[in-house]
Amino acid sequence: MKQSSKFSRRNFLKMSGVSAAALAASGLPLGRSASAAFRLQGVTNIVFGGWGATAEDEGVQAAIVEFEKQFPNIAVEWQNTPLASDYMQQLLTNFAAGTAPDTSFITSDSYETLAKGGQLMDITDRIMNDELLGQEGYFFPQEAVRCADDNGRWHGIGSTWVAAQTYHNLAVFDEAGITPPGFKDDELWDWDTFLENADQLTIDVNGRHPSDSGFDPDNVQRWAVDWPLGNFVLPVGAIYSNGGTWIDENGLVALDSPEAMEALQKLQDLVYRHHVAPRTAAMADLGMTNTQMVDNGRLAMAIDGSWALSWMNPSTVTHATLGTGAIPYLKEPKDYMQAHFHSVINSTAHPDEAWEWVRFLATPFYTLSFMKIGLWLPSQMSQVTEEGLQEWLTPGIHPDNYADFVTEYLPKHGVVARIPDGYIEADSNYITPAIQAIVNGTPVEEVMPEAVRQANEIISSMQH
Amino acid sequence: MATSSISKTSKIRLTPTMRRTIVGYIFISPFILGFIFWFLIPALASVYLTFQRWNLISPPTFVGFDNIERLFSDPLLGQSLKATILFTAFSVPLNMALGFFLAILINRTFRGIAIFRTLFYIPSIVPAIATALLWAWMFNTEFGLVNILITAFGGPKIPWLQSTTWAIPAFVLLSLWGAGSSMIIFLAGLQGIPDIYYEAAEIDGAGPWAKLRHVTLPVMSPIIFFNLVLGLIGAFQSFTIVYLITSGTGGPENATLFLVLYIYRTAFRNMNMGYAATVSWVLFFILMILSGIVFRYLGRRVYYEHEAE
Amino acid sequence: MSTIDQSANGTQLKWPASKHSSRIYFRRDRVWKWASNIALVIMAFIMVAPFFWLVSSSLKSQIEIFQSPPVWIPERLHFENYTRALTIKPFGLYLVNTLKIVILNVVAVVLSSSFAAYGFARLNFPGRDFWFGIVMATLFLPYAILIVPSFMIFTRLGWVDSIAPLTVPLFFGGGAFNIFLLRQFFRTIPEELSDAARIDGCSEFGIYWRIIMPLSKPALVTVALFTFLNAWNDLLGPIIYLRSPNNFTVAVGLSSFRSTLDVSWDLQLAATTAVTLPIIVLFFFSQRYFIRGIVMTGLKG
Repeated sequence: MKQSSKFSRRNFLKMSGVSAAALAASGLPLGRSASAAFRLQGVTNIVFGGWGATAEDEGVQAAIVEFEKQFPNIAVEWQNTPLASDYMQQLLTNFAAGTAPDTSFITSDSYETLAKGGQLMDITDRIMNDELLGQEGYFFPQEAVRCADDNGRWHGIGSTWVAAQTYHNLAVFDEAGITPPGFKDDELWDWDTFLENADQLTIDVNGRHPSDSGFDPDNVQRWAVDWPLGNFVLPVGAIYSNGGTWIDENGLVALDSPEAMEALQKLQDLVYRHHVAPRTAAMADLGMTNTQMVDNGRLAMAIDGSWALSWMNPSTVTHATLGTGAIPYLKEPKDYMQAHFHSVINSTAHPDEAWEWVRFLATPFYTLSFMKIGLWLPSQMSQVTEEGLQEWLTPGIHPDNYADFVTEYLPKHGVVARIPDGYIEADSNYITPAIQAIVNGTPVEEVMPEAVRQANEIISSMQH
Repeated sequence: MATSSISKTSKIRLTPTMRRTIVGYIFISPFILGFIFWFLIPALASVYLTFQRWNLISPPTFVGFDNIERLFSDPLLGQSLKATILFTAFSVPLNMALGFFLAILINRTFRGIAIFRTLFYIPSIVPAIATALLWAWMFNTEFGLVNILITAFGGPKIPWLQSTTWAIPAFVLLSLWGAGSSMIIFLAGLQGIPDIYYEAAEIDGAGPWAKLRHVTLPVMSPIIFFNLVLGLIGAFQSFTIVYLITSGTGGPENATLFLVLYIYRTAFRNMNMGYAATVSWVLFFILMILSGIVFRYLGRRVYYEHEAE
Repeated sequence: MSTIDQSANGTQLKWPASKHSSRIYFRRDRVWKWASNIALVIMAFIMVAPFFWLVSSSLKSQIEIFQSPPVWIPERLHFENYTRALTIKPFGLYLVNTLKIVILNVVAVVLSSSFAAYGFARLNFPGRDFWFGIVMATLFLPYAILIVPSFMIFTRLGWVDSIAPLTVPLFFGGGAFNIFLLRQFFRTIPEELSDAARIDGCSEFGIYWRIIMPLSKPALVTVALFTFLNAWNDLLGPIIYLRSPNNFTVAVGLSSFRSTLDVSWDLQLAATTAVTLPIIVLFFFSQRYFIRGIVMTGLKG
């Protein structure tokens, strides 16, 4: 199975301890590696391509300034496209034309394809021989699972994680007398608790709950939850927590397994059966994101990506006190973690300098600015030690219990997936439309098996 | 440069035919070069791609007729054809009818008519990206103007862009906003109708309706034909607005996956250049067949009218 | 259809040809007149409503924009939406980039398509009709087929991330539709003018440049305006060929608003209005020539 599963708490602490100690012992300034022995005359230009809105743009530019201070002989030119999908399209055409950048962001769903196609430099040896990155337990253990190919070779490194979590309006929970979920094992919600609380948190204009007789589902004052299916990072956790998988050990889509379909059906039921969640379409049309609705009390809690913290908490409008917690689970707690990769493109004329930059992106300086604003979660173990946490947890951005997310919950319950070559086509042609049908109320069993069959046909055709 | 070459050639004694030929080809040579470089060579490359699998990343590999075989078992091609044909079948005739109607309304002379002409025409020249943003907002279920008006008249709130039933009607409606482009061509035609035709009809006692039926429509047939051909080509190749409004997905549930969007997505999102090229030839042949039918069926009548002048 | 019988149809050159007919038309039927007046006004309202909604929404506050029942005219006009929307991205720079492309396109298309159209309309030589058939065939060729192979060619030429792929090809023919349009127009110019010039020893190039071009201003304005609009509105080309943000066009800048999370509806609509406005102004000033140009191209054959 191409995913990591359990990491005990003890193991985790041991590892983070090891890496922290190693860091302290090495005494290395974090941005500088021993391999930076070369000094060329003049300045080498490295092009770095990627996507992102203002926050990403600023973060990368700040990183470039710092990097160029440490490596005066390397100049990094940042080419930023706002949307990931537009960027990947440009990158592909660049590959075709032989005009690819030296280093680049790579989306999770094209990483395998590009690695297989030989476009991404094999950086395994450089990592292993690196005094810092090569240390045992430098990264979250899940990193290796998704970075390494079948032969254990790495073609990119992540600098972050994102994962689904809940955001809740604490005032609403207080009023209802319900304790919101947290990240510690004894604070998690199983599905029954979730449904029970969701019923209590949902009220129509007459103050009735969905389980009361006379409840008016068309005039709901406040919904308990929104769990969007559109961004697939969000529902995948529920599928894993029901014992299902997204991608199976053969690299095929497994969303048609009874466990996966049951989980998706339960997510759909929140809207159409239990009436504790708004229809996604209706919500988009209200012109509010689910996090905004939590903010103004139209929604008690929202499941959204960890990145939403960056615009949720420091919201410019006055906002309610925000709480965070883990997603409810079906059979056992699980959450799906994902991140884009940073890779050196094989065609670069300056592999050493390019590596130096990609390496820099996997050191704390670069990631700190993103973590501080709530956009990213750490992917390096040194950042989740007591001292490491102090570096980035920011009052006013990160709620009090947020440390538990990265020290306890994700290391233990986080799963990752390797997304096979051909998945993009399979997804845009079949999986996404099936999810849209589910969002619109079509029962999961009616659409998923056929969509998965079609999707896997495409994926299998890529494998020979 | 062209002048000097022309005068030079005329000094060497050439037969008039040769001379005319050389001069003629000088004039159309930029087009011929452009045709070779930007059409012929890319189109041939596209034929080549039809027999390859190529994801832009690894070198193309020959796959024989795999791509062509896939055409016959691809449910999305069927869906895509369905969406495109449905859209074309409604948007083209409605657009022409509205364009014709508007053209008749503004084919008059009074002070201020230019303002109406401008108002009717401008929507068709608004940047597609602006049209997309504007109409995404117009079709907002809760706060969009379209639903505000519908509910004001007691109608239901329609989830235009979220529902598989309403997405195509939404795009048809949106396309009607651009009826100005066919209007302007109809207007050109209406202004070219000699007055004597109408005067003759009036002598025969024809009212406005009879004049429309027996004078305007027949005389306008070449322009209707022209608009029809342009409309079909345009509608079959609709891309930008649906790409922008659906963020390239052709959603919901592929309901608006127009052919060009499918080609684009297959090529640049799904990295399947070979199959994208294959599907684009399907589009090419459809357009060829369609215009063949239109020319054969309507072309004769148009030609007849012209001869009669 | 020879050039001669087309040019014989000189009535097309007289501009308001319908004045007379419409006078009779309406004298005879007042009901008809009033019905069409009312229809005119109703249609104008329908066509303008989206613009009204656009401008009104673009001047609303975040709260007003999502108010129900809708706010038709905002309580206070939030012009700051415009300053904010246009400073989120460097729209000044985008405008300069766009104008560069637009101007080059207009020059290229007007020169190149009129040159080819002259050959097709005013000269008779073997193979002419074959090549004109090719012109028409390219109208039908779905451009989608060409995207990938063209990209390959332009990269071989080293033109990626420059405006060359968006401008240079237009110097070669300037587009089938434009050639077609100008050919139709050129055919309406009496052949006698050319013949007289030829007798005076004028070369074909001289006739093209000194006689046909000056007589064709309305048609050329039409073609120029179409070209301007296409270039101003083009999104696919710039997205594929322009890489550095410093080269982006207004359309690319605006498109990035669509799914960027930190831009809300009020700002999106403000930027949309700002990008649409130049088009409307341009059209307003050129519409007299423009409509005349279309009318006079005599799309009748």
